[in-house]
Order: sequence, then structure tokens, then C-alpha cells
Amino acid sequence: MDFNTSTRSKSQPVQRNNYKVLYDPELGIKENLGRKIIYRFNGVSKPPLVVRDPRLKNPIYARGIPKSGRPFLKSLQTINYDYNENSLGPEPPTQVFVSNISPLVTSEQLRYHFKSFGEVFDLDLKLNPYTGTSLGLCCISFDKRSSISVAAHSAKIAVQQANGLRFSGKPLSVVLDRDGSLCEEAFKKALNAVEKQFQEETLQKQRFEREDESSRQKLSAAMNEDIPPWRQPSKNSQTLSNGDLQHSKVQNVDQKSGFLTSSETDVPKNINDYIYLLIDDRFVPPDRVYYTDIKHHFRKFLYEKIYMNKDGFYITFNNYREASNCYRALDRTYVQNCRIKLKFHDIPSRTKEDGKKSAVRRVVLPPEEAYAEATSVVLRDLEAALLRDVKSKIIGPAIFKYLHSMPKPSVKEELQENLLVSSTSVPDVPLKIESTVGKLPSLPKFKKRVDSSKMNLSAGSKTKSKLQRRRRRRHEARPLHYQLNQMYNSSASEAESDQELLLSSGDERVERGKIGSIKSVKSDEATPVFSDTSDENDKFHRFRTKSKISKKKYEKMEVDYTSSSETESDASILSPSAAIPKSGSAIKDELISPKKEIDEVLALAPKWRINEFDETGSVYYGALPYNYPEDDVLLDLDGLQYLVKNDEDYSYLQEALKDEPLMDINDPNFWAYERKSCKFKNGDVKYGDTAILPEPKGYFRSNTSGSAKSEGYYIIPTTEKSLYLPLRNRSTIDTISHSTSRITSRMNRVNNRRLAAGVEKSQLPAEADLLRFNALKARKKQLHFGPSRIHTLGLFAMENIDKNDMVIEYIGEIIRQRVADNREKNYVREGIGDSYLFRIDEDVIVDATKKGNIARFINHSCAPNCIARIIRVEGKRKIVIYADRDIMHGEELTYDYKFPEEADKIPCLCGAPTCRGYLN
Amino acid sequence: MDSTAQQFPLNHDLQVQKDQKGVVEEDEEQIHKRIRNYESHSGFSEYCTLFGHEKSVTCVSVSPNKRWIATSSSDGTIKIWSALTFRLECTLFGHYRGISQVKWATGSKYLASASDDKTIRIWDFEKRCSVRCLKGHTNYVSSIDFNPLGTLLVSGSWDETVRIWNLQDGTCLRMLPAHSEPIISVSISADGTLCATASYDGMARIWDVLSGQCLKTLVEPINVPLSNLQFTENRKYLLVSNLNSQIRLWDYRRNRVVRIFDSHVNTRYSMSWDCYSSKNIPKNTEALPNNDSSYPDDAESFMHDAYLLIPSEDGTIQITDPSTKIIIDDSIRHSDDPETSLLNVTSLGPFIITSGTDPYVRVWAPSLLLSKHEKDGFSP
Repeated sequence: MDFNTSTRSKSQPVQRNNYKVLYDPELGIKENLGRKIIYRFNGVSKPPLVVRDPRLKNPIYARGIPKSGRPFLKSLQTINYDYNENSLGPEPPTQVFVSNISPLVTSEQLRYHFKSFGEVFDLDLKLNPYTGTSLGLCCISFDKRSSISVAAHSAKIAVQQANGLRFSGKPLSVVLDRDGSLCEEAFKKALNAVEKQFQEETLQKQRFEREDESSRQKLSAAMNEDIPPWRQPSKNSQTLSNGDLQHSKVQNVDQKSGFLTSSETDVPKNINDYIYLLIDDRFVPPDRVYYTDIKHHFRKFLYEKIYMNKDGFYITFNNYREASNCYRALDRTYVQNCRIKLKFHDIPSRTKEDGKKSAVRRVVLPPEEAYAEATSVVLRDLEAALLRDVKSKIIGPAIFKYLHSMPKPSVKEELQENLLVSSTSVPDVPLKIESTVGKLPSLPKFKKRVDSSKMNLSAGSKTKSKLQRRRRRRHEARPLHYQLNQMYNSSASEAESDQELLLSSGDERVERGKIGSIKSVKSDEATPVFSDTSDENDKFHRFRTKSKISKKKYEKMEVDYTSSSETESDASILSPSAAIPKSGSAIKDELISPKKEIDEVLALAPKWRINEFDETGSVYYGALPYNYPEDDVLLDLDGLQYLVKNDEDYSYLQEALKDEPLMDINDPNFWAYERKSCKFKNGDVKYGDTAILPEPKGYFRSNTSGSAKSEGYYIIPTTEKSLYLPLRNRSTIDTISHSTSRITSRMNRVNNRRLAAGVEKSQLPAEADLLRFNALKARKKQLHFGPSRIHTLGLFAMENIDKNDMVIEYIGEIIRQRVADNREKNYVREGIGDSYLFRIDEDVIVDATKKGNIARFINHSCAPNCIARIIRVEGKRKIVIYADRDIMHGEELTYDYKFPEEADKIPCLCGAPTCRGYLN
Repeated sequence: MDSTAQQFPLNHDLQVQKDQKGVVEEDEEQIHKRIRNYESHSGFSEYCTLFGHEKSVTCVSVSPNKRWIATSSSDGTIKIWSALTFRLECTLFGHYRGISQVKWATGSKYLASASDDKTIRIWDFEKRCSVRCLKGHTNYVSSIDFNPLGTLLVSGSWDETVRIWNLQDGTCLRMLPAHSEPIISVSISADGTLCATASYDGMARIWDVLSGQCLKTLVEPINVPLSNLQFTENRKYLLVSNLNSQIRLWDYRRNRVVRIFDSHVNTRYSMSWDCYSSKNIPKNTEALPNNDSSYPDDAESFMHDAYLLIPSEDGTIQITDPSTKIIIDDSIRHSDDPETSLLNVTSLGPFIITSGTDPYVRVWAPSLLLSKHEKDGFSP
């Protein structure tokens, strides 16, 4: 034992595991290594051990691929095992913690981004609980349900690739986070910070509020008026005390508008009596928009003055129109980059009751008051309009007439008295007028001009034309319920209308009563656009026809305001004053009258409003009831036809309508037909002989049975098809007209040259052709084939070709007659419908069906622009196509096929005017 | 099944109805009388006749909500009838030539009509007026169809073009030079993407509505002018009729004919057929032979639980079971006049509405239904 221990301590090193002696001096001393034993512990030695692959000593080995073909491994493979339940240790991390995310990045964006690394299982973007904004922290776990290793791998990749990536401006920091603890920590930290900030903020806010309040109190105490200090134009000493900021602003204002005085910009107390536009203070920050800016902004409008106070700027106007124009133009425009919103204020009707405060403050009225105000305005307008109408339409003419026909003085006085009364007491006017008129029947002719329905004229119509007004009156003559009542009980309403509305007496009154009811019925019927088959309709129908004559009379009366209606004549109706409003239909009504007149009248057919009757519009004649535009006109087609009986009448009519602008109606006959059929369908008249559907211009074939479907199957001949098919068969006609119309100077020169040199050519055409063929062999014409309007494909000239120039040679296989016959049969069997065989003589035929050039695409035409000639060149016969006339660029080339006559005809589709109809 | 011509329509009945100013109203008594007349017969009996048109009635169209019946006529008018009472609701004027077809748009508010005056009009039924006039065709417009959304209209015309119109502004979106003979019928598939056209040139073509591309041409070996065509409900098939008295059921995807119906007569007119719910006719199982052997094919479902109402030019309607081609019923005889042909047949619930080259529109109901209602105290 002793020995053992002594030897161990002296010579033997301590026996430890995993030691290997690299150098033992006792085995033989090497000078450079010394006398110490060198150990290697755990594979690590002091001079670093260089392990070399022993195989590398073999020079052949290092060179590469051995005979077996498999390359030697450069390094040893490490084997990775998927983590599963048998694996040891904790599972690899599949979560990453992403921080420093820009607050603008949404979770969707993140998810989208991290999806590129692997399937994202859960993405938890931490949010600020107070504001809901992102805290810039996120925990992303990859989907480890299918395989943990994949998820771990994607997490690793995510860390590798996404870390430091600039995402929305901030570099992300991505860290592996095994159990989400990192994230939790960071979140807690962030939460704490946020909470702290929030508390600070609330504190600060409270402080600010307190300060604000105090400052406001100060301000209010300091201010002498409502006007804010910075808006106060006068250099009051009080404003200066309000602090430096405001002071500077005031300075600014003063610098810019030094000339202003307080009296100029102060809002007057009675601002509500002005028409003004208010720019609310909210829209004009006081430190950016000044008085002068506003002034500049509104410089183009004729405003009266600009006031300002703490509510904002008031721009007052003299008249409503200017104000509304200004409002429309400048609302929501920008002043000094501030969008201003204007508030429009009109003069209210009410007098101020609320005192001073409302005078300044009241801009927005409560709804009830607004309604009341609006109704009062409307009422006032209506009253005014009514008064004006009564004056101008009823009383004025009455007085004139009265004076003219030397009336009794007592009546005159009465009238004037009434006039006075009506003008002074506004609301009572209608009653008064009625009463006046009621007393008036004794006046000569006056009753004819009284139309009680005028009283219902609305104020809005005063700006409208006379025509419109008249139409309006007719529609609005009675309220709707009245019309409805009438519809079901026409006789009762008749009586009623007599009592209420009509103020004249005698037979005429009754007549007019009827008319009134008819009119209203009609306007009522206008709304549903269909012929009702109800019983009432029948009644109306009868009723209408009964009272037709009276209606006509009534219309005449209405037209003739100035002349005495009792003695009215055709001529008077056609006097200019009367004719102008009705001129539109009046002239056209003539269309059905004597034929020779039609054309003349058309020449001066006046331009009518093209409104509902425009076919391209939305409403059509068929759908319209009686009240088509000519309703205003009182006389329709039939009426005028009835009136104009001879040439004299006609000439008067012409004279009367001289000034009318012409109206564009395409086909007068059709136009007249439309009107008549419309009238008929509304049940006004019988379908007379006059309303015959005129034959339309252009192609039209009418089916005997009425419609195409009930006609059944029939074949349209191809020649007829060319009449209506826009795409077919019109090429030749068009191009011919074109080519004649645009002969250029160059063409002229060519013609001249041709004339000079043309004599011998005409004498020896064959030789000349030959020469030309040879000469022009080199220079080919620019041609191309494309879809033709004559037949499938055609050949078109891509340049201008002069007359007699060679165009192209017809090339194909030269075959004998028998071969040709055989081939033709084969082609028919194969379904090649078109024939490309060209006969040179009895037994020689050129077949271009399978082998040939584009010359075979040239179509047949009965009016060709080319001619095919068979010429001899070097003993061979050739088919050459020459231009038969000058051919323009783009024209299709055609020649006459000259097929022999045959029993089964091939239809010709060339479309030429001289077309024979068949090729053979 | 065993009905004959002389029972329908009875002349004195017609007279009575005419006296009542075109509005069909029958007394209880008369109905009872009629029902008693037909009680013993199976098949269909005339329920009422709609008078009002002056010329042949070219098209009958039931609104999608089944409340209105629109009839178009060669006299240039469209009449709208209530589908509940068969009363005339209104008449739409506007075309100055005959009308070939009238179609309701989805929503039952708008109608379109194709006329011989080369225009198409869109009508607002609620306002009772024409709201658009589509001009552009250079010859009669023969057929129209709305797309399911009601935004587009496809029209076929005798000018051999198909036009696709935008209904918002009434402009022509596309003009397809589709055929080389008059186009007689157009139909849009239920999803609105495909449009089929039939022409007298014997070809039916299927177009992509959006691009205007021709997707397929259906050609029959013998070139007979076509007279009508329609997509089936399930979009898989196309029913195409020709003037050789055939109706072919095309599986247009596989380009083959699945079935041919040829028991009717159709040589001249473009007649339109319709489906009829088989629930209204109790199936007579004994009358049917075993249907498994004859057609073991896939077209079983193309009309689910429905019979095909095939009009014939001799004035009868052949109610055919599309899967077996067996004629269930042909008791409807539109007119006694051999010259008058049927043009249109439409189903409306249990009713069948027929129109032809005579100006009458007749409504038929199963006799069983009438007699049943009589027992229940039914009054129209």
C-alpha cells in the first residue's frame, strides 16, 4: 500500500477518468516537449489538438467522387430527432415575443407577415386597456398541433429573419419566448407605464381645467362686451390687460385693418333684420382669420357690410338674391386654409319679441317657430301674388274695357272702391273679389274674362311664362279631393262648381261649369296612364263627347282675351297676340289639312318645347294622357283643322306664326299620327281617317298579321336583307361615292399623263398590258385581305391604284377540264362552298382553291373596279387583274366573274346599284 | 285524356262573356252549369276567356310574383290582367306596330316589350307608362330577355343581331352579329352569365353576356330553322324547338341531344312552351309504362316534378312528362278554327293560359279542381 502510494505521488500522475497521456517522457524524451507528461482531458489538450481525417491522407480520396458514384461526405451528418412524447427535456420554444411594434400596426398585418414563417396559431397583440391602442407588444405562437418541430423551426426562422426588420418604420425585436413569460413581463411593465401616464394625464387635465376656469373668469371679468378681445378692433386698454397672447393678436388685427373703428364692425342690435351670412366662430380660428381676410374673400359679392362679434362674422346683404348667390358660391370654401361654413339668414317676418338677447343670439329657430315663419312667408307671398293677379288680370282689363265701352259711372265707382279695398286689406282679398265680381255681371263682356280659378294661382308661378301659368292653373284649379269627388259624382260637382266657381249667369255659365269639371277630370286622369275600363270611365266618355262643342267654344274664349268674344272669328283667333301661345301645335295641326299646305307649313313649323315627346326621353306619347304639351295650346290638331278652312285662313295662320322658331319633327306625318293616336287612346276622339299611320321612311316591311311572331316563318330574300342590314353589302356603294368625291391633285396629274400617253395604249391594249405586266412585275401593289361586306373575305387596296394599272396576277394550279370537274365535286363534298376556279380557255382552268395567291379572295361585283384579262407572257397564258378605274386606298377590289348562265342561281350580294341579283 | 273538341269552348258561353264588356265575370249559376258539363270528364276545362285584344295575342307572361298577367298583341298593345280575378287591369299603349314578346323583370315592376316597330320599350307597371325606348335594331325585334338582376336586357331581332342593353340608361352595350338569319328567340340562363340565341339559320348559339363571346354553337345535322329556345331551370340543359316539329333537350356542355319531343306539330310559328307542376295532375300510374327501360339517363332531374306544356299548331296542348315523353293530357283545344294556331302557353299555378293567332286568351283549369271547388262552395 505504502509503496503504491509513494509511487503514485512521485512518478505516476493522479489517475483520473477521461485522461489520456499524450506524451510520456519516460517512454523517450523529446527535447521540444520537455520532461512533463502531457495529458489530454476530455479531448482537450493544451496545445490544441488537431484532429485530421485520416482518410484525407489518401490523395485519391480527397479528390472527390469514388467509383461508386456517391460523393464522399464532407462532414458527418448530425441526426435530428423530432420532438415527441419520448423525447427528453423541455419542448422547443414555439412562441416568439415581438416588441417594439409601431402602434399603427394591426394584428392582421402582423399575422399576415408572420404567416410567411409558419402557421400562426395564436397572435396576441397587447392593447392599452384605456385607449385600445396597441402597446407595441405581441406574442405569437406557431401552430404546434401537427408537429412541434415544425413550429419550433418556424419560430426560429421568425427570430432569425424578423428580428430587426423595419416594420412600419420601427425595427421589430423578435425573441424566442418559450412560455410567454417574457411577453407577460413586458406587458406588465408597459401597463404600469400606461397607468402612470394616465394618472398623470388626469391630474394634468384637472389642473388645466382649474386654470382654464380661472382664466375664463378673469377674461369675463375683463371683458366689457360680448366681443372677444382679439376681435375687438378698437384699441381699448382693457384688451391689453388680457395677457400677452391676446394682446399680440389684437396688434395683428390692428396692423392689418388699422382703419377699422369699433362702430364699423360692431354687430348692430337689429342684426336679425338684415339678410346676412354668418360664419360661425367655430370655423374661423381667431388667430388665423382676420377681418380683412373675410373681406377679401367676399370681395366679389356686393355685400353691404361685414360685422363681427364673438359668434363670428356677419356679412350683411341688401338683397336676397345676392346673398343666396354668395351663399351658394362661398359655402364650404377655404379662407386661410380654414374651411368656412356659412349660415344663411333671411329677414324673419316676425318682429323681435325676445329682446336684445335673441336679436343677437337667435340664429337657429326652433322647428315650430321656423314652420310658423315659413308659412307666414308663403302666405304673404301668396297674398301679394293674388293681389297682383287680381289687379292685372281681372280689375285692370275690366276697367279698361269699361272705360272703352263708356260704362255707367256708378259701376266704375264701385269697381274702384273695390280696388281700394282689396289693395288695403290683404287677407280678405279673395272674398272681396268674389263679391265684386258677383256684382259685375252687368258689365259688358267682363264675365268672359273672369276665370275664378285664377284666384288659386300660386305665388311661385308669377315668374313663369304665361303659358306655364295657364297650364298650371288648369291643373291646380281645384284641389285633389274635389276632383276625386267629381269623378264619382260628376253631376253634383257640376252644380257645385256652378255655385262656387262661376260667377257669370245664363247658359254660358252652365256650359262653363261643365267645362270646368271636365278639365279637372282630365287633369285627374292624367296621373294613371292607362285606359281604365271601369264604369266611371264610360260615363266620362259619354260626358266628354257631349260637351265637346262647348269645350271648343270655351277654349276660343280663353284665347281671346282682348277682343270681344261674342263676335270672335277665325281671323281674330289667328291674330298674333292670340296665336303665339298656341302656335306650337297650331301649325302642325295643319299637317293633315290639304296636302299642298303641308309642305309650306312645315317650312315654318315652329319649334315647340321638346320635352315629354322626345322619343329618347323617358315618357312617351302612348303613355301620356290627354295633357300633352299642346294642352296649353288649347287648339290641337283637330281644332286647327277645323278652323282653317281655306287659303285665306291659312295665310293668316302663316302670318301669325312667322316669328316662331322652327321645331324639329322628323316626319310630319308620323308626328301627326302620334298626336292623333294619342288623343284617340285617351278616348277623346274617334280614330278618324286622318290618323293613318304613315309609311315610315327607309326599309319597312309590315307583317300582315301584325307582328313578326304571329306571322310565322318566312324567308327573307337576300336582296331584301341588304336593305336593312347595316353591316352588309353597302361597301361598294359607299366607296364609289367616296372615290368620286375626293379626287386629289395627284390623281389629276395622273389623269393628264394618261391622256397624253394614252393613245397607243388604247390602240393596242393587249401589248400594252403585256408591257405593263412586265414592267410592273417587280412592283407589287399593296393589298391585303380581310372580312368583306360582300362575301366572307375580300381583297382590299392598301394604296391608291391608278386606272389600267396591273393589280395582281391570279395564280393557281393549272388543270384540265376533267380534273376540274372532279375537283369541284370533291370540294363540294368537303364543304368548301366557294369556287376558286378560273377558266382560261376550253380546257385549261386555274384552280386556286388549295394552291394560289391572295387574288382568289377578290369578290364578284356587278359594278366592278377591276377587270381580269388573260394575257400571254413568254408563251404562257396568265390571268392578270387590272384596275378598271382609279381605286382609292381601302377600297375592296372586285371584278366581274362572268359566270355562265345556270339554272340554280347564286345570289349576288355586291350591293351595287346596277346589281343583276345573281352571279350566274 | 279522352276529351274531344266539341266540348270546348261553348259558343253561347263566349257570347255571354262578350256582352260583359271584356271583363270576365261569370255568375255562380253559370259556373255551376259549366262545371256540371265538364264534371264527368277528366282533363282540363275552360275557366275563363280574356277578351280585349284586337289581333293575335303573341305572348302571355306571368309576373314573377304571380299577381299579374301581361299579354302582348299584334295590335300594338300590352294588357295587364290580374292573376287573381282575371280582370283587365290596364292597357299599355306606345308601340305603333305589333308586339312579339313581353317579359317581366324580376321584381314585377318593369316590363319589356319587343315590337315590330324596331324598338323595345321598358314599362313601369306601377306608373303604367313607358320609361325607356331602346332604339337601334334595324328590323323587327323578335325576342327579349332580362337578366336575373334586371340590369341588362338582351334582345334578338330580325336584323340578325343580338343587342345587349343597359337598362340604367337605355344604351346599347353590345351588338353581336350573331346569326345569318333572323334571330327568333333569346334566353338568359338563371345565373345571368349565359345567353342563348336561336335563329332561322338553324343554329343555336350560346354567348357570354359579359364579354360577348360566342361560347358554343349547337348545330343539328339537318339544318331546320329554329323556332324557340329556353334554358331549363337547373341551367344544365337547353330546350330548343325547330320548325320540324321537334323540341330537343340539349346538354349543351357535352354538346349532345338528350331527348327529342316530336309528338306535336310546329312548322310555322315560334311557339313557347312552359312547365306545369305535376302536383296539379294526379299521376295515373297505370297509364304509364315502366319508364326505367326507355330512358335510363341523367336528364331525370332537368324538370323536377314538372310536366312540359307543349303547344301544337293544331291548337292542342300536349302535357308531356319530360322524363318519359308520355303525353299526360291533350284535352285543351284553344280554338275550334283549324286555322288558328297556338302561340303561347303559360302556366299559372293550376291554371294554363293559352293564346294564339286569335285575339282571345283562354284560361284553363283542371276539371277536377273545378269540381272540387264546386263542392267546397268555391266562387271565383
